[in-house]
Amino acid sequence: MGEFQDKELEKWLKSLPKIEDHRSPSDIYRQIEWKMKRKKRRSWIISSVASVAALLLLTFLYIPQWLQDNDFAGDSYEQRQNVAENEKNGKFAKKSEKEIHLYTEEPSPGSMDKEGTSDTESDAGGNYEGLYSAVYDTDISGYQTFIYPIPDKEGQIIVPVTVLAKRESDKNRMEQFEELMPYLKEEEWGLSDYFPINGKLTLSENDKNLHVDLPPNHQYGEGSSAEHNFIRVMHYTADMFGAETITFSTAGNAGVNFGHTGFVEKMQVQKEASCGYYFYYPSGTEKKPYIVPSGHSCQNIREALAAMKNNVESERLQASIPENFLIREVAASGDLLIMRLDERAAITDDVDTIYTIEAILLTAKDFQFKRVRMENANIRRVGKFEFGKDWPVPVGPNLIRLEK
Amino acid sequence: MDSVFEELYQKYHQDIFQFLFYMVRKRELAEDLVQEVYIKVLKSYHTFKGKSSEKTWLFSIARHVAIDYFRKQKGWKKRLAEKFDVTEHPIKDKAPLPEEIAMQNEEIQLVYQCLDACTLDQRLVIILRFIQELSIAETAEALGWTESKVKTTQHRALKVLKKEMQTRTKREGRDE
Repeated sequence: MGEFQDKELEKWLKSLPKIEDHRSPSDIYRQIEWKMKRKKRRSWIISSVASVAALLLLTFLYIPQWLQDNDFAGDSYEQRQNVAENEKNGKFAKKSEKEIHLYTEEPSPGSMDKEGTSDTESDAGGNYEGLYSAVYDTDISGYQTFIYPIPDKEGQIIVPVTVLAKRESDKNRMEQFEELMPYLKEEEWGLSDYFPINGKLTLSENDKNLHVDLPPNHQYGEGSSAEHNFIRVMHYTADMFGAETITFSTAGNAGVNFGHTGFVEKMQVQKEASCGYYFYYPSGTEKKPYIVPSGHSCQNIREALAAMKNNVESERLQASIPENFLIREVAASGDLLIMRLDERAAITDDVDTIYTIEAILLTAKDFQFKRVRMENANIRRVGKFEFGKDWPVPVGPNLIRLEK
Repeated sequence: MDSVFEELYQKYHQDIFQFLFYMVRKRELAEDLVQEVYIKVLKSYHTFKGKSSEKTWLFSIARHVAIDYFRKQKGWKKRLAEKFDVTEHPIKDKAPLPEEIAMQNEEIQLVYQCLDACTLDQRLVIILRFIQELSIAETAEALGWTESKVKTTQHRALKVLKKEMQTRTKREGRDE
């Protein structure tokens, strides 16, 4: 066989044999019925177990609190307060009792045992250099970050990708942002070929305005999805540059015509809605996910963390917090988010847990937290994340190194 | 038996089964997944608004079921195996050909084996376009893509297939 021609190949593909299911429809239907009943029963059992667990949890949580409130546990409270003072130079001693309790509770004997037995390997934590997805302050000395909001190939979600660029004193940030656009390899990254923008972006830092000038034949009004995504990308970009408004022009004349929205001259910048970060695998086979915000809104971070345990089918986003990552309590202390894990949470030191932690950190950032602390894990650390310590939230998600 | 099931079975069962079989390449697995498709369909049939054809709607559900299966496959066990460099391809190569394929001529067997080299998206398009013989517009509807994306993906898939077929043919020539 030599060179293959398209026609020949198509002919062979069309000749692939018909494959039939030989089971009878009644057999198939019986199995479907059985599966559906089993699913219902399983969800009933799960909800019953969850209710009992919730009751038990309430009992465990409230009885010690009640004892404390009634001064029956005075000694241990003082002791805890001292630990808090030692740990945080008195900073948290001023917080409410509930917060101090959350920070300083001694690990239970069970978890001490767990730590003791898992010892050295989990103490060190795996080396995941180069595998982290997000960008942190410590990664960027001498560099500045640009976040490009890139739509996926189906145009359903926006994937924020962070790119590092050397600081260049003779150029402003917007110039550098535009200069880097041609170097983005969106298709190679499994996303849609979106940048450079077919237009000119100008930032007026004094007016906090992003001006967008489009050519008359621009493609951003072709179909509601193209238009919707373009507007999202512009809002995202404006927000990154600290702009509060966006103005539009077409070939220098004020305003732009969008098929759906109509004629627009100015928009107030709206921050992307956030209900947690999820995993996105463009073709379903990648090893490293993009960590992507859902685009829905949530009331608070508790709601977001609960939502992150479920897939968002409509946007093909995968849950970023696995079932066994059990979070018992979430509390805020200024710009610090404190998460207390359940005793039964089975945290493993692997790269998937790194991505789960990064998804949580990015979510915390969206809710204006600057640091996150996780307490009561069954291991000491996962990669560079040491439990019980404050972790700064990332500078940006999905770091991609550009080859210029 | 549920009348919705009966009607869908009569009209589309073998098409959906065949689609799933070529996606996952295992009869038993395709049998399980086709049941998952019915479960999803029976739960949401009342929401079907007739915007797309019933057939493309069913294919879009089958596609989600197949993709979900592949995602679940990426569990920790598999990743562990990958760490120890047990790559997928040698295992797939050794898997015996399904009976229906083994009965075909050499070229068709080769095409079937080379489908492995395609990405999931490319395989979806190849199966819908050439095995299910859906038009570009129907394929776009089933996958929720634009027609131009279907065309580009089809073009790339054929290119990948040709390249893989040439590589395998050369390799087999050398081995002989």
